[in-house]
Amino acid sequence: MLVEIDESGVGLGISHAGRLLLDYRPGGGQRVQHDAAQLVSRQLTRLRRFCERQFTFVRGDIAQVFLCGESSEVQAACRSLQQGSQIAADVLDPRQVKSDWEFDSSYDGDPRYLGALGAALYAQSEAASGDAPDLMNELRKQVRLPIRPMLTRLAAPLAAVVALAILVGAASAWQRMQCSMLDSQLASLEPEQDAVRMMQLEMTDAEQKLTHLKKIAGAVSTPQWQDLLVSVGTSLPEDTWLDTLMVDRDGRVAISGPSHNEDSIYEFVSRLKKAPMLRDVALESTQPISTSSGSATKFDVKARLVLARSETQEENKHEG
Amino acid sequence: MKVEPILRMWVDSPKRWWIAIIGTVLVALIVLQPAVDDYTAQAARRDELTDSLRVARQEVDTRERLVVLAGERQRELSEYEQKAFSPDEVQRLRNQLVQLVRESGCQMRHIRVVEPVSRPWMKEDHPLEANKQTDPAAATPFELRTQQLSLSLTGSVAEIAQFLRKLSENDRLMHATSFQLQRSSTDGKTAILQLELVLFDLAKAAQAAT
Repeated sequence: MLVEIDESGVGLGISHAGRLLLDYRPGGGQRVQHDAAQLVSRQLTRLRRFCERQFTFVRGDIAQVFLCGESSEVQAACRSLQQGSQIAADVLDPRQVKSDWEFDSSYDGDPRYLGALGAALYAQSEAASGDAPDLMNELRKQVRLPIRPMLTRLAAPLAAVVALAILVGAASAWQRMQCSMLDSQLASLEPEQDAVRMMQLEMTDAEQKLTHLKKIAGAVSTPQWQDLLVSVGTSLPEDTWLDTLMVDRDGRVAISGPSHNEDSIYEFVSRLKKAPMLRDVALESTQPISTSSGSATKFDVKARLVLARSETQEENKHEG
Repeated sequence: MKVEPILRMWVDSPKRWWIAIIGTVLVALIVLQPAVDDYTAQAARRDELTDSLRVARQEVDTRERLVVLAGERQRELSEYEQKAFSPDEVQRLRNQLVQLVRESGCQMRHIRVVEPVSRPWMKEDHPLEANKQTDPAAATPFELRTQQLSLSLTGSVAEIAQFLRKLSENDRLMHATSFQLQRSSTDGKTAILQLELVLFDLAKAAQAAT
């Protein structure tokens, strides 16, 4: 127990293992200053009960009273306590404690003072550091809440975001790996693909050219001249000859020649009309001529050649 | 530098939750968002590559069928190309006609081949008509090359008929523009045949070829 007696009254404190467990100033002010010993004796039982209830972690009893303050009152109170109670009492003047004190292993003084002297030295060093000594610092440090649970709660959202980012990053890396695999597969197919494309291009070109060549082939034709010749030749009656047979690029046919018999000319025209290669057969003119074998009639027959289907269609289109 | 005092300062701060929220948002913006963007881009690229691979495999799978088809098409094209008259083919035809005249027993009077004329070949076109289309959209990569050949020969009508029969067996891209059979004035038994033919070829246009 620490007892400080000054002009404002008496202050009581309970210290254990260098820690100030409580700081207590009973009422009464200057009045109790003269009877500090009685006050301590009166408060002792109450303080013991309080300490037992509040500081369950402390084992032991209040065994030592250190007094400090105004020397006359302190000395008187110390004597009264030494005489009137079973508790040890001593005076400790903190002003006499020097900050450069050191206790070596050969110290053989009363060990009861060591704790109090150490605490006083510590308080002095705190005071020397600048601010007024705060005896609660150590206690505060001890009872400070552990950082981990709060830190865990605070950092949980942050950790969740980081974890999510790592997951997304891993997924992204997996996707990248897949892409790389697909890339290599595509690259391996590329030569074959190029070959196929080249083939498709060639085939398209070939199809295009083939289409146009077919169109040209369908539009042009070489008539079966020999059939026309046979057809005209076999249609000629016996006394009729052929001088010219002409077909122009539009399919117009002109047949001319002499005949000794005018009826034969009509017979010839009639036969030509039946010829499958000719249409629109018409006798244009007849004219009397003289030949080496006697008088004759020169005829001019016009007709149209029946052309290939495509050409006929073209012709009809033009005529239309 | 010790981390614990900083952490302790954070934990003890009355604005610790605000600090945690702001820190979380900042980390989300700086780390998570780029990661999500990267993932999205990679996923899209993967989908694209998968599609490309599927298409590529389909293309490659059609190769065998395409080879057969291309072969057939090429054979058909070759047949038609053989009917067309390239400059070499025109020369060959000229020799062939001389040979045909001789084989038929006729006599060649003259054979003349004029310089070829080329014109663009359009989509809707006719080889016997002059090209009146000017629309470039109607153009094809080809040009139509025409070459006129005139032929005159003498012989009996039977010999001429034989020549004409052999000529008609020639299934080529040629068109007879004029046919004239006339009795020879010198000899009543022989006739003169004058024939004009137009020979066709379809070639890649110079511009398309380059």
